[in-house]
Amino acid sequence: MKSYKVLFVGSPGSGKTTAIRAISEVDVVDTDTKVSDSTIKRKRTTTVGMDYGKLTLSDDAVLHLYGTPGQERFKFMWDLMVSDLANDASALILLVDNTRNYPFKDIDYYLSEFWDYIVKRHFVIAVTRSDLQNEPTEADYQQQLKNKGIIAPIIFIDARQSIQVLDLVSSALSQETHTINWTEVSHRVAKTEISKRNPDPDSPQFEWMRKTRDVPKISIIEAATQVRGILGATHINAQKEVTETSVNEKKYNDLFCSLSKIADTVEGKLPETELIKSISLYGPYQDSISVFREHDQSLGLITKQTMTHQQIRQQADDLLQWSDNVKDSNEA
Amino acid sequence: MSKILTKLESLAGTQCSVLYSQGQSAFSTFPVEKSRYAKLAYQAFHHIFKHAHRVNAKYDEAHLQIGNERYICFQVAQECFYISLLPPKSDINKAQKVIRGAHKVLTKLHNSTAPT
Repeated sequence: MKSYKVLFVGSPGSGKTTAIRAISEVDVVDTDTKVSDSTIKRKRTTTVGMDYGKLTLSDDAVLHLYGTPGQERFKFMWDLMVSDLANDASALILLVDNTRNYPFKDIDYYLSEFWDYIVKRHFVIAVTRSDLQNEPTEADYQQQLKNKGIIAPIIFIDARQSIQVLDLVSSALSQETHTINWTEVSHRVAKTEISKRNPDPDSPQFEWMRKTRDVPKISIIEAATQVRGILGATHINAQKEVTETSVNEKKYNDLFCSLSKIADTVEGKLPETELIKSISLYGPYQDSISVFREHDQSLGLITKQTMTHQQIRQQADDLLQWSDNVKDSNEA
Repeated sequence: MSKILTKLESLAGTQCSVLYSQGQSAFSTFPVEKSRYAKLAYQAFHHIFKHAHRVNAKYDEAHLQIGNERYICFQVAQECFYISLLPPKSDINKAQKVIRGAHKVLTKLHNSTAPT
């Protein structure tokens, strides 16, 4: 029996679990649990271990589908999967959520994290949620990859639609599966999907037809303060004005704005065009202060000293990626 | 004296470092091509601590992430700053612990620069 393996990676909420579930013929082994961090801005549950699904390709070939947990704090699972479970995978599919504020930043991050793995395998970028946010466009993604000197197919998909996911997987495996009759597999997947369909038009299965998503409405600051260890959060716009805050003491907000301005000044003096991504302050037995920056917004955080810098950074990165305030920042 | 800095760098996993005392670079292992960054980082940290101390005078450590590189600054004394450059993907916690643990050594270095 010939086995093929594909590994799905991507940011939290990019659709890894959904994509695997869409084409797997067995109930997907998922390890979803209730969200307890900034991911609450996007969804109620998140993968903490891994996803696994399976699809028969022919009488003597089977496809194993693996999905990593999106959050960096479960990075040990990434290492385990690339070194063991999915070490012999033929392809890596990077799912990029087009509604994130800086999707190119996600590509850079995952290229950096999985580079050694990617160079030895087929690599495809699949852009999801483009029905909700149509920019960046395919041309923008192609230009971005070209600028980086990377050649990879870019495919826009709806991760909830089995045929689109199957097309994606067959593209990723196209050079290895000459003997597979993908048309037959496609018919079988479509038939399975129809047989599983809930006749109720309001069921989640028909969500893609309604073009709406059940995304919890919660602000960046509300989401930040639900993260264990974050004691206060302030959003600052491009004009260095506080747009939203959970911090009552003015001196902290003044400090966040001052640090953001210092970063601007230093950036202007740097010999090369580089972004100052963050400024942090620590002291013995003191809560930490950090400002995380993008070119059009900043996030100030007061965090418990027990939180590591890596934990704070990942929460801040996701919050800035999902911030609804960035649009207001640009318009201000 | 730079040998002490080199030893500290190897323990902390930092790439290079500099001790600024009374506004001057007293000891440094920064290569020439990076010295402009070191000076800029010092100026930035000077302002960062000035603003930070208005909120809490106990902040004695500041980080500045420029691109993928991280500058860590410890305020050793009132006018003494020890600045290290961490390469990408370094162990930040280890660097923090090692440098904080070397406070006495850094203070001695600072005192050695004082005019007699």
